[in-house]
Amino acid sequence: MSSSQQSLADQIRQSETTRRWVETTLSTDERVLARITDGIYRQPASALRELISNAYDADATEVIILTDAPRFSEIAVRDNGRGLSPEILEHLILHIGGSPKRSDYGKFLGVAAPDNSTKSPGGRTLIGKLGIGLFSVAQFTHHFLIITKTAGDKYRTVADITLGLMEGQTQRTTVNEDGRSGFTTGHARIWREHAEDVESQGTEIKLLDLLPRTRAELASEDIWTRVASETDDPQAKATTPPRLHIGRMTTPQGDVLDHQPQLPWTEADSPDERFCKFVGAVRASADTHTGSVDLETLCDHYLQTLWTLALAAPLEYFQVHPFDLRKEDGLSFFELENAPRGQATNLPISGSETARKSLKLQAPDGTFGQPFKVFIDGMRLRRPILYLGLPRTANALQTPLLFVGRHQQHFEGKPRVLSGGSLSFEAYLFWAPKIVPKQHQGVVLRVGNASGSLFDRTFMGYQIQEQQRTRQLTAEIFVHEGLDDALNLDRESFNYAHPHYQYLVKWLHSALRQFANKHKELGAALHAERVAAHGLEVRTGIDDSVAKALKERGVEDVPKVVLADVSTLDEAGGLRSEGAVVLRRDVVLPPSGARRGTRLERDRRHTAGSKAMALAQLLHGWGLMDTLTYGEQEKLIRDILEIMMVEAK
Amino acid sequence: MIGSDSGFADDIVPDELPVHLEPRREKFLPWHRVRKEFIRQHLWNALTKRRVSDSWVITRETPNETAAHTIGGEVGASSSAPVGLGTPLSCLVIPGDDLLDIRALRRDLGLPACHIRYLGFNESAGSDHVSTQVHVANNAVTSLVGVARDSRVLHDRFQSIAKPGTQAYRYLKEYGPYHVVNLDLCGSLFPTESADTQEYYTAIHNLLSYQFLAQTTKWLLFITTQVEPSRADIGQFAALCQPTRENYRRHGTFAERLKAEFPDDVFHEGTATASLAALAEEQSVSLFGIALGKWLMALGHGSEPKWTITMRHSYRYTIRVDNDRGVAMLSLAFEFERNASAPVDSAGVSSLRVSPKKYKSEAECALKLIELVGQMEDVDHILASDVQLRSDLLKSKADLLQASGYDRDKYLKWVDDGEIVT
Repeated sequence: MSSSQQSLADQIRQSETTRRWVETTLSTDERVLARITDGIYRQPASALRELISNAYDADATEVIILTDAPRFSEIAVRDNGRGLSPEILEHLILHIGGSPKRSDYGKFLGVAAPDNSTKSPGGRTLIGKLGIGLFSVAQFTHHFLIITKTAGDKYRTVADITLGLMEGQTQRTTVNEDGRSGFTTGHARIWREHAEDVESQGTEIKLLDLLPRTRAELASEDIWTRVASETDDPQAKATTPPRLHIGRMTTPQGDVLDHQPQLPWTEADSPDERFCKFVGAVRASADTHTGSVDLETLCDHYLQTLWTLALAAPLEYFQVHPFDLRKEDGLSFFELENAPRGQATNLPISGSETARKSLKLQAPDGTFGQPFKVFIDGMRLRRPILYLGLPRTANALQTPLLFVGRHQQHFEGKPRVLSGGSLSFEAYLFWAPKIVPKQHQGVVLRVGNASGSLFDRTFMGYQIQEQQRTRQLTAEIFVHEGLDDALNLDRESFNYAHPHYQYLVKWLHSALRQFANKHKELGAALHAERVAAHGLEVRTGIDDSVAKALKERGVEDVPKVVLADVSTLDEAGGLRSEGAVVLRRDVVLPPSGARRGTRLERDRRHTAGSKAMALAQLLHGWGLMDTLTYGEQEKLIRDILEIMMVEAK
Repeated sequence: MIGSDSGFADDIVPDELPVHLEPRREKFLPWHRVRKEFIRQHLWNALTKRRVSDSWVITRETPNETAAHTIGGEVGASSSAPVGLGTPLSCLVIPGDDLLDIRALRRDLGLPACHIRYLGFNESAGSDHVSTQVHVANNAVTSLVGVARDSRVLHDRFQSIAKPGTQAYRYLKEYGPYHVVNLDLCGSLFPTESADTQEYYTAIHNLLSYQFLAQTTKWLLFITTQVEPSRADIGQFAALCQPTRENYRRHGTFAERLKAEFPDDVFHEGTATASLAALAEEQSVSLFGIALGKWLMALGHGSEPKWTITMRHSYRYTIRVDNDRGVAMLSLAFEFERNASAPVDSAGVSSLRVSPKKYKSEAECALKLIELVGQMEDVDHILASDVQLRSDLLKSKADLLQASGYDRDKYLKWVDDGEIVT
């Protein structure tokens, strides 16, 4: 066989003795796939997510990402997975988009289990399928290194890859030796180097020469530019940097930071402690603000990227998998019914029992078998969804609710080519008075326990007016079988027309209806209980008006408001931590010219007090107070009251 | 204006098409000479090994405990503690493109005794450089059992840590505190007219400031630097000698010992410049060693709590520079120990009897410094006189280079041909 006829893998192996590199072009048989190497993702986090997924599919137990933040001069992603043999590398480079995963050839190459092409050799459900994940790095750079090694190999393979055309190249279309057209997407130099560590395995992707726009995005240049420009204009309202950020370099290529990082952890903290403090800081910000905690204003892009990756990857939960929550954690449990007109029923769980045990749920906390840990810049990521210790609010109903469901749909009697085969999934809807951060409001679909999309706040297009209720809801659907074919190329969105997606839409909307009914029922019962317990009749027409107005809005649970005789915010804080909306009487009620102590004045203040509480209930019920500080809320109510009192005269 | 460059394209389109890096270099360089292996084995690694065996409570990794364990939690909080189970030996190094120093350290410490985590400074590590060598070497070394997988080599100059606001300084804190700091400097610490050394000294000062606050156990500092008295910047050299001069003035014994080594007028007030210039070359080399050590000791003595800094047996050799001129290289070792002691109840109210820990005084350390600088051995002489040792070192070095991907036969031939660097 002549050199030109030798397989690329053979040529790569020859470099062990010749000590010369092999040159080749990256190619694909499909023009549309050539576009992948131009970049198809919207955010840098997507590229990192894809590399993490590749590591997962390679049965890695650990991924280490080093970003050089906030300079981002180069990024390394290394795993201890099985590594790429020259044969796999050849396939990857010469057939972009033709992943051997999930095929018999994949079994032959050792990237899929011998008995199941949808599983990794280690038994994990494969996330990737098209062989394009690696080329997601086009989001970051047009130049990267692959340094890879398989266990038992006395050599490691190094590939230096540039994407796009090289100097002097003008044509992307090529004609292969067999006469078929191919599409050039880049160029590679590959060689083998002696390895001392024969038994080690793993792959490192080193992203070099990061694209200026990607670097700027990761470094939050838009935020810093805004801060700087407003600093220059003394008349403009000052914009402060995000409360949490990784700092900023004076110049992109420099080595000095002009803004030092503001992070909730220190260098002395362990990787677990860092993540714990990061999540803790996000959670704690809910205590200083009545509104939603918004990662976009709290964190810079880098920290948001970490959070997004933590949500997307198949990782252990930060606190606990929701299926492992216990009755003694202070939740109420319900089981969702798999019927169009179904109703959620109480799940009889006691003490330390869990929904997992009760319903024999399978979705793993992290992965089945071997652990999978992801470290980024010294922080260990976990899935940061909070179920315990969430803030209390003005809602009368304070007990978090967990609705759990599972279903298998075989589409019996339907042609498989039309139905897409069986669909099997487990899911939960978690309600709490306040979801932190607000980016967790919505539903996320996980295929193979990974997700490319973030929480969908529309709940897959739920049309019913439940805005207030759905803002208090986090949901995940763990798809064990099916849906895979509905995933679009970027794995960040779905083909809405796919039967599996359509089925999940119907199931979720039914689940939401069941949840809403149960929630209303609980709210109404609590309201009645409260009225009865306090022996109260409806005070005035004001209370009725508020209750009626909020009911029309879909809010059964009238917020609890207290008018307190305290003078400081600190004193009020104590009461607020118990979940009540506390208004300071002296701050909220407008002063009058009348002499204190007169009956007229007492009546006036009593009426004003009732109106202030009613106003607060209405505004909270509509969610209009969420973005205001306590002080601003009091000021707003006082201003409205003053107008109302003028009218009364 | 139509057609002109508006500047909007800045930061959108890269300036150049991507180009491949060069694969590894096969050329042999000065640090591939056999004598460097002597320095590694007999100075750096020997002292490190002693420190490790002195301080480690448990020296073996547990089964299945890989570098992942390091990342898993113990690093930051405990690297100021005595090295123990799960606590890696924390190293700050300038390791060169092949990371030979780290490879050799791991080899000499012996598995399963040690678990190393390192931070390296190497200006050529970055993406704008032509070689893949550092990238591949770092991947290879961090894949070895006993090396933390998040160890890294930065594309930064060591001197960048001179400023606390730099990215390099952030990394210093991220990976520190350190048990071993090995500054095998490309540039020289010796003040010459052609090089501004202040940035190096500021960097070392900043490093010590950090270590003194963050580290609590003994640690080692290795400094390798060339000394060129013929090109000395006398003003800067005199400044470096200031702590020595001060000690000379205050302590009779120290002064006597110096008088035995140097002309009387070297340390007279007001005559610094003239007298330093008059020193013989060998005297200047020795004085630099003493001055550098005394400068470090003064920093240790001036800190709170105090640090005792003791020089360890060190070495020197000669390198050839332009026109084959011989220039001395000093490879110096210092041990740092924090002065901390349990409180003594002098009133006798407590029944607990505590003996205050005795640390060597600065004067003792200073006298030892003079002695050890005077006793520095010449590695070239040692190797010339001990054929077996040289042969053993050559074999070790050839093994090390082969493990790093070099052609062993080519290396042996290069050594046989006189270790000539082209």
